[in-house]
Amino acid sequence: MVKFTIEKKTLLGRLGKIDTWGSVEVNHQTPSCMTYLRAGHIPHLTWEVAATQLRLEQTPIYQMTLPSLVTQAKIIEKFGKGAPKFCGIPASSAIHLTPFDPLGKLPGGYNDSKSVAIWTPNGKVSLDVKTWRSIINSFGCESFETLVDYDTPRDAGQKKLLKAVERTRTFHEQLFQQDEKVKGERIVTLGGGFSKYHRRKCAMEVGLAEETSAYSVEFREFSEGKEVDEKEIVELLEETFSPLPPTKLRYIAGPFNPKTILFLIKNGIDLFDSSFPVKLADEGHAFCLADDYPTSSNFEIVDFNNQKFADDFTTPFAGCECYTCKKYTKGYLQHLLNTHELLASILLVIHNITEYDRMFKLIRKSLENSEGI
Amino acid sequence: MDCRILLCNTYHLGHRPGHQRVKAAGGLHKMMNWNRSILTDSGGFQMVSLSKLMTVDENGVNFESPHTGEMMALPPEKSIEIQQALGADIMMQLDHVIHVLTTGDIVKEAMHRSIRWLDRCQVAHTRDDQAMFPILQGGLNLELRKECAEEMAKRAKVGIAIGGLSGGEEKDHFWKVVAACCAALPSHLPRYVMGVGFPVDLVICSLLGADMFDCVYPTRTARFGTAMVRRGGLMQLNQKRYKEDFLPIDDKCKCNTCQNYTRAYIHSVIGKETVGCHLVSVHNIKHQLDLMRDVRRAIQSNSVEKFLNQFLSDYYGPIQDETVEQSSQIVRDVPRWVRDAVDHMGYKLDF
Repeated sequence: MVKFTIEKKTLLGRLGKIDTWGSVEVNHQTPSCMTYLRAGHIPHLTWEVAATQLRLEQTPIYQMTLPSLVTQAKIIEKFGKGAPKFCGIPASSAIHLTPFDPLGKLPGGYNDSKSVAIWTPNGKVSLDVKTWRSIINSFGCESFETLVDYDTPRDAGQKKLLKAVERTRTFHEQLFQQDEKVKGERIVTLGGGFSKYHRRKCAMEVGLAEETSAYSVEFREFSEGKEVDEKEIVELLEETFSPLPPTKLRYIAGPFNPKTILFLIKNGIDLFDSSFPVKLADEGHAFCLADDYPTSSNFEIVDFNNQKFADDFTTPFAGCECYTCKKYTKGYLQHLLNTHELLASILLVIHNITEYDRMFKLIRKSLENSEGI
Repeated sequence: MDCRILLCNTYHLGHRPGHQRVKAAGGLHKMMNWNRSILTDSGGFQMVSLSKLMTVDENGVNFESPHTGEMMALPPEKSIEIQQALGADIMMQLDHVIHVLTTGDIVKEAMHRSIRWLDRCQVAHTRDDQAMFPILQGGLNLELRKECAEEMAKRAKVGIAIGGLSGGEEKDHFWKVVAACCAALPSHLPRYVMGVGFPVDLVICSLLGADMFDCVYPTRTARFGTAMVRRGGLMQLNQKRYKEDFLPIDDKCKCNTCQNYTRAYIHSVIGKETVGCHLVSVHNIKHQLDLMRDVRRAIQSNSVEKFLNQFLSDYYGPIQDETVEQSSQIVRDVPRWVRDAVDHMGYKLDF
């Protein structure tokens, strides 16, 4: 089971603890984030590098994303020892399997009543319930997400929204009504797009089953780079969660910057993923929280592609304890990016994930010091 | 993995980020966070191989910058100045490189000029915490090589290199030049064969008396998905045959990649995720380090012949595979030049 307890509620968010993730003891405090994986790896890091150079605050919960592995699904089944082992992930890790890649593209118009579309470098794969069930079982992760019809853009009409909720409900039912059992903890994905009515309806249709371990809110339209209306987010989350038991873990996948993270935590979200720091690293960017974060929500993004760093041989971020900032300089990062060396991505991923991890630690500390409600 | 020495490319570093910048960063070791040994080449070789308009006169190498289009001069003094700014533990003299298949008087001229440039490099060499190696030239002419070895050995302080090879010459000529140079050099100088190479080249050259090598091949080929293996030589992991192959690259290899990953996984990420490049690079470097360790052990324990038989039958045998009985496998033909070199050294092959 996902054993989760809320330890404190404050005006700034809820403080909680995940004791176990499936069979793995994690003692992982929330708010926090899962560690985003692509092809079963923290992008650009071999597991050897991750184990020796990336020091995280807590026992990680890994978010295994399917699109980079889906074409290997039959081979992983044949392999017979599960996807984590296939990808070289350290044994006994807590791993969550999601059908979507928070950094992948997800264009509209490709879902149907039988399947949702996911995208690989070689094109579209239509994921139906039967295939998803067999992938969940052969991959052997500790937890999985239920399928959701995510195709609910802002301009979606009533008919489309209703259909999306219907499909999400059907996918959910079909996944569990078969004789073949689905192995792992069930994280139920809640959709409904920009419509308060459909958010609530979807939550009620799929969210009330007793076996639900946690909730995942389909929220890609609000992730980094999209225009967000805070009032709208508050209302949508309120409609989503008001019909549901309040004590379950709430998770939102996708790249969110430190400011948005604070806002989502304030609105009751417990768990995220580390796709934001990876996204920045892929662009040659590194980020750093303001000294007064999270009192302020400020942070800075530095673009090391910029030639102005070429002669600057000072540490990338003074005070940062990560491997990159301890061992290398701004000028060297600039040089690595300038010459398209693979080491640039390695060093930036290490810094950015370390900083994102520290961000959650600071947030938890501020919640601890806040008054309970 | 216990890798002890790296080669850094002077030409590329001189272009980006620039040797003055490396100096400002505190030298190569500090800039790249490597506290073991580093060797830099003279920068001359890339100017020859990358520049369309290259001329050499007594002053130095003149070349057209492939980046700015300007004509630039690289005299020996400049090469040393750049290498001193980079700050490697071992620098290389600027030598007059000619294509290995060049014949005629120019071969001799280039050899003599390399000796004169060595003298100029030594005058320019002012840092006492860096060693500098001379580079033997003389093309495929064994007499010239011998003459060059005698002259340069007088001037060499720490070690010496054998240059001008690995440029597309017949292997038959290649090993004979290495053998002749090694025979002509005094034993106290470590001998470094530049730009070598493939596993079989490393083994043969080591047994002929060479001590150091360098090659981009292991990491370059790794990035394209080719693993180096003792059994079968090269494993192209992007081939379909590895799609469902759940063996490690080499089940006898102790590298992190072989301990944790299957050929099938690596096949699935080659060309898609950078970790594919990293995993095969780790294996290939470990392969080279292990191979050289085994050569040293064979020499130390007087079991070179046994080692050669095992190494060559594995290398020219098939890739390890679950479906094939290893002991009943046919060994592909061992090239003539390898047999000749082995004969020359007085060892016998059983196959």
